[in-house]
Amino acid sequence: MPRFPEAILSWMSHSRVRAGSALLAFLLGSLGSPPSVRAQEASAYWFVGSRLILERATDVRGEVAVATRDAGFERFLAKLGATLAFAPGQNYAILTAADRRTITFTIGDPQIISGGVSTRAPFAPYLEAGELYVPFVAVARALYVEPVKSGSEIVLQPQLGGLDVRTDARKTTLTFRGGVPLRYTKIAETPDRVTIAFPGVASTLTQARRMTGGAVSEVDVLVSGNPKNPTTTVTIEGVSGVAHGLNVVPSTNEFSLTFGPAGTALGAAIPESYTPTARSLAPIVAQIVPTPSRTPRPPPTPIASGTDAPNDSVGPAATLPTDAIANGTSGSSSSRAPISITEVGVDILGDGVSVRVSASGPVSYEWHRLADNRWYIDFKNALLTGSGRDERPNAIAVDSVRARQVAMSPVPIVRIALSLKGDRRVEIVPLDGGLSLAIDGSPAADAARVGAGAIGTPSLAPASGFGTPYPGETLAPGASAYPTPYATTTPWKYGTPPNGSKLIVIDPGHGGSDSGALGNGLVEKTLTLDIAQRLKTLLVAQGWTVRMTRERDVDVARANAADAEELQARVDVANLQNARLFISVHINSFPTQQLNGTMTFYTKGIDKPLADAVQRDLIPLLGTKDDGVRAGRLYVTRRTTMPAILVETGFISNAGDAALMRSSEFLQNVAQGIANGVRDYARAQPATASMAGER
Amino acid sequence: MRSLRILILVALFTGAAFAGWWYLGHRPATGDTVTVYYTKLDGQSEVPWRVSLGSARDLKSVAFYTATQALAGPAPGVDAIRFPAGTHVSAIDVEGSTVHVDISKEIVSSAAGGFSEDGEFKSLVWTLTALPGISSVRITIGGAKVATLPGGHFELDEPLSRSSW
Repeated sequence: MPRFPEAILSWMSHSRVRAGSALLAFLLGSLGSPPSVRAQEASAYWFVGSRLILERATDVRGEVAVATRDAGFERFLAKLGATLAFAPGQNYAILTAADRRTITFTIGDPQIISGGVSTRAPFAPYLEAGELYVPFVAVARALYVEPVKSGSEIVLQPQLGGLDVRTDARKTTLTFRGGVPLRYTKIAETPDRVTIAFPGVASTLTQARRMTGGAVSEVDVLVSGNPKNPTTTVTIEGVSGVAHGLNVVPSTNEFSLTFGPAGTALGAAIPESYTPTARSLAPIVAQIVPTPSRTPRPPPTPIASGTDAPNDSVGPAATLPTDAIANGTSGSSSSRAPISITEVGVDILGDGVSVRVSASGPVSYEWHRLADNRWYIDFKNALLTGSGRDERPNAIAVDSVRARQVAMSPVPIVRIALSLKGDRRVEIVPLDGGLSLAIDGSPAADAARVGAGAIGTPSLAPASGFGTPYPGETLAPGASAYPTPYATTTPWKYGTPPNGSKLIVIDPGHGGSDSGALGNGLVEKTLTLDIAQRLKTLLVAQGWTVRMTRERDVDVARANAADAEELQARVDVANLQNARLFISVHINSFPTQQLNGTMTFYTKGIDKPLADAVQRDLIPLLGTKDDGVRAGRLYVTRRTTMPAILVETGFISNAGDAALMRSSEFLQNVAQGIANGVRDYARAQPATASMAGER
Repeated sequence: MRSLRILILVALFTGAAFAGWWYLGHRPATGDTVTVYYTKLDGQSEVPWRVSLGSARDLKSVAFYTATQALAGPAPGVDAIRFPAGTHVSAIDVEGSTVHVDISKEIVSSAAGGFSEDGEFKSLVWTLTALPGISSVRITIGGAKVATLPGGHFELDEPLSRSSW
């Protein structure tokens, strides 16, 4: 790339901005005004319960320009869940709002394009000393925040700013978009009429809207309260005979309801009240982060004076010396500084509950399941940040969640106690810098009553999953890296296999430190293992030798391995054994409810006949939507040397598919469908012919 | 006279060479709008939509802008396969006919399936390869080369082109 012309362009754009500023200063100066740019002067605002100070703000024609790297501005964006992309040398800066709208600025151009709609800012963004300055109020408005004068102060008031109405067939979906994550309380509800209050947001949508042609007849928006603490109340009136349901939304800044004929699938029930936690700014599935390390959060920036927002619960531990973060290690290290449990958050996921626990450093724990449906987990050498927590989530599976400092000496212990509604399984899901307790509808049955592990060390799962003997098993000296206990055989029925290969490798997707997708109270790694075990039984009955990449809830390579290492370990099981076929079982996921159905992926040409056979046999048994056979660049199907497929059984994110996946009959049918496909494939593709000219 | 003619020819040639060199580095990407593609919920069809460009028309700026648009997806109400919320372009570079896009780590925060990942990258690759002279897209995540994604295990080890699908 030639450098010289770029330098010219860059110089040209600088000089243009400077010339513009000089001309502006001259014009204003000739009118006797004070100098237009008052650098270093702070702009103070009130924003969501705290004072927001823009230190690097200047005045352009009476409007505030702020440097995009100003700490207060960055905090403002972070609280709104917005991200700014601007690389030096680019002429564009792009803001992505929490609700995914793209807001585009061009240096030297006052047009701001927000979600495809162009608005004109009072002045164009400009560069000064390599820093990008943007019109602050225009940015705030684009992010649904309205500056409102209240006495001598300016309050940056988050708005319920957008309303999308979509009608298709007989259903109408209303989606409200807020400037901040939306808290709400249900005020009144009948099947055809709902009233919801959103505290903390005002609205510019304040008028009744009559609608025709859909399932909704009227939407009323009313704002009450005072400028610093407004409440917006929304009433939606359906046409007679309709019902409604809550939709899954891609960000917590959105609230979406569908109205439609009673008896059709309309989403979930609206909870009595809902408070998004700071973590849930990201989608729920964002809790699974595969990287094992965690850098400590930096201390708060000193310019952000005043109290923090009440729901801003992620932050540094105020009560602890910072060296606790660096020094804390797992185990009974009572001589070391205790770590802190910085967050205990409760999310309702469909019928299930997820309790997120964040720790400031490595910590060990022990959990117990009691006979009376109580369950608790103790974190040793840990301090609870803030006071205890007592939550009664409105969920089918869980009655209450409590967090307490139950002991201070000799070792401080934090206990999180769950009171479960009936016999429920509690799954511990390791996260980056913490863990999540996932409680879905499934019964604990005869699962273990006690266990232990650690956050921040790999002891949650065996260091090496595959090839590690189970308790009570021993490996013969000189045994292969892949011990035989996994393989079971009955007499061969289908022709003469090449290389003696009648081995099928089944790969239950995810496992151990990697939960895969979560949704509707279900966990992907649990479902894939269940299906794989059923499939193994059926294939063995057909006469195949079957090896599974994992037989338990473990990582195949090692806990928290890089994705490629983990997947290569699975591929190796099949490649090194020269397996005849490779079948990976997965559960699909999507950010919204919209998608459902079953699909089978393949990559190589030799995969397709197997994919076709399996998909063809699955659909009539499952009754799910046929999403077809698809080519995809997926690691396991691409790197295996034999015919390989990846079955996406259904969408965990879709209420209908998830309901099916809760029944063992359905899981059995998945296994049966795949087994039937393998049988049909083996009949159509005699083993002796299959190995030549492949790929 | 003859030497003057040679001198003029050399000057013309040098000028043409310089103009060509300048053009290759600063190919005007498009007119006032650029085409961005999104993947429909069937996971296969690519739908074009036109977005307006600002004043910068050098290929790198336009590539940055279109990649950012592809990552942000179409208007909120449109049914499309979208990158996880907050995913954005961290850096972009044009290396011959390949655009190198560094994507922020939000992309790995979501354990979506191979279906979503396939649709997301199809949209990005379709969008960038619609720019003149661009045939492939090299992806890094958070500044690092990655072999695959955590949710559905879509492979990113090699530059992607339209023929990757």
